[in-house]
Amino acid sequence: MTLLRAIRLDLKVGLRGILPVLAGISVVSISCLIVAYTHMDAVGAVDVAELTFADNFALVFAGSLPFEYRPGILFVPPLGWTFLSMLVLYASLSYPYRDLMGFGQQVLVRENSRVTWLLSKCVWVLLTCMLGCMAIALTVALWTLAHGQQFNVLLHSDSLYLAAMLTGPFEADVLDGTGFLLGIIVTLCSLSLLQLFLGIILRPSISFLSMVLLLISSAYAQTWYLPGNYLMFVRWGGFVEGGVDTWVAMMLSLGIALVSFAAGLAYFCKMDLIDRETSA
Amino acid sequence: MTIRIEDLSKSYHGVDVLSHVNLEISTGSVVGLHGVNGSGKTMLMRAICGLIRPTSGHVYIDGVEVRAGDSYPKRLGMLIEGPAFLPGYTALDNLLLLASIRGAADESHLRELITLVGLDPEDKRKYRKFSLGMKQRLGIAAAIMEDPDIVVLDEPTNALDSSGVAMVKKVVESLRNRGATVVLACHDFAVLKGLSDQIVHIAEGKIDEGFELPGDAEGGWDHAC
Repeated sequence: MTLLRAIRLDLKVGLRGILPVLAGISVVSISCLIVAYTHMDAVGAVDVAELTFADNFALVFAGSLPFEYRPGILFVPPLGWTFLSMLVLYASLSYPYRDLMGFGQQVLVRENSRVTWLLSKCVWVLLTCMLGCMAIALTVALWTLAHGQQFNVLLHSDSLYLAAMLTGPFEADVLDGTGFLLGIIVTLCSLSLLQLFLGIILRPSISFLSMVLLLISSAYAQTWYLPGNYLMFVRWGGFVEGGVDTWVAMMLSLGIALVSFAAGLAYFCKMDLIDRETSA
Repeated sequence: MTIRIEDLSKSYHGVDVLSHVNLEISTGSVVGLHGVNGSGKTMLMRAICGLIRPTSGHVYIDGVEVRAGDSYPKRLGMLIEGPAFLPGYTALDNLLLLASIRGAADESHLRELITLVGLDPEDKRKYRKFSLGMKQRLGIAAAIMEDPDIVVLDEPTNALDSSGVAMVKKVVESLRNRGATVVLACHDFAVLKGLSDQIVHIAEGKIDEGFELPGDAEGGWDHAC
């Protein structure tokens, strides 16, 4: 009962001021789609009318091909993908720590339990992350509607032309994209939880910087142990040979979430609740 | 509720903030903590509230150990290191949100309380627009709003004018009258002396038993420990 009240309080307080971030997420999503669709003219082989909601969602998370070092070529992370992922993570960045160092201490003492406080913040972080995903989904839905495309979760390999001008050959032409779409949400949620606990341990600014570095590292190298790879359509194993398998990505993301939660809870229960800006 | 502190020590960033503190506070008494800034008063209060984990030693409330993380005083109100509220909400809304956790205080009671501490429950100004004194008054209201059995007040007279100080005295008296245990830290020794049944002097994290409190020569003050 106390947990439900705590969650309700967090939702009421913590979601104030989130609209500008959601708007930012929508703007970046549209930008990603506009950039992807400009490839249409360059490639000229994609029948846009055949693309679906899932294709457009995947294009928002297109990402980039792994960087291959060549003399004179600089690594540049995929800007739209990086900004979008950062914005979704940013949405849940500061409230839990800010609350812990202020009003939340009053709440925590009334809840009589640090576990309750932390669980409530985890739920809040997950819901906030999902709100970010919903903002993307809504934007993509409007885009799909505007282009007269179909609302289903089929992914076409053609969309990889738009994503990164990939010309194949691919593992398949059309696939059910449910796993990929779900994988993106699960990965973002697990990274948000990781960010929450790093924020409590190290401060939000350091936590956010760690997440940005993780995303940029993921863009640089294609490997299963950099979870940013799970968020990239052009590295999805469904179409791309040697790409990341959806279920492996989901299991690893759940692992990150569980390890983050266990380690974070153990630390938080022993943590001194003293504002680090003030001395003893 | 009785508070028993046994051999409590706390190191923070390599500094011994509290060192082997022993103290017993009986039910319904008002204990004043006296000491200079950084002497360890606030850290001791945090330990009582379960906000820090002692390096060694224990805090018991009615025989039950307070353990940061899994065991807290059940009926505790606190004002530590200044009030912290939500800047975008009014005084009443802030208290309503806090009250929603336990569901132990209704709106009419909160309105009375806001009036008691000298604020206006109808005031539509957000907390961020409050003066320091108003914030302090709201902090005191939050500390006592659920009729707690233990109240920890760290510098409750900070930023308050004379009417505010009088309000604090009135609040502490009413807490004493209803049998609540109060731990109070205050730089104004006259206020502390006027309100406390027992004054504890803390210096460099230790209870200084040999300290001669101002006005002691006139008698009447019960040295702690």
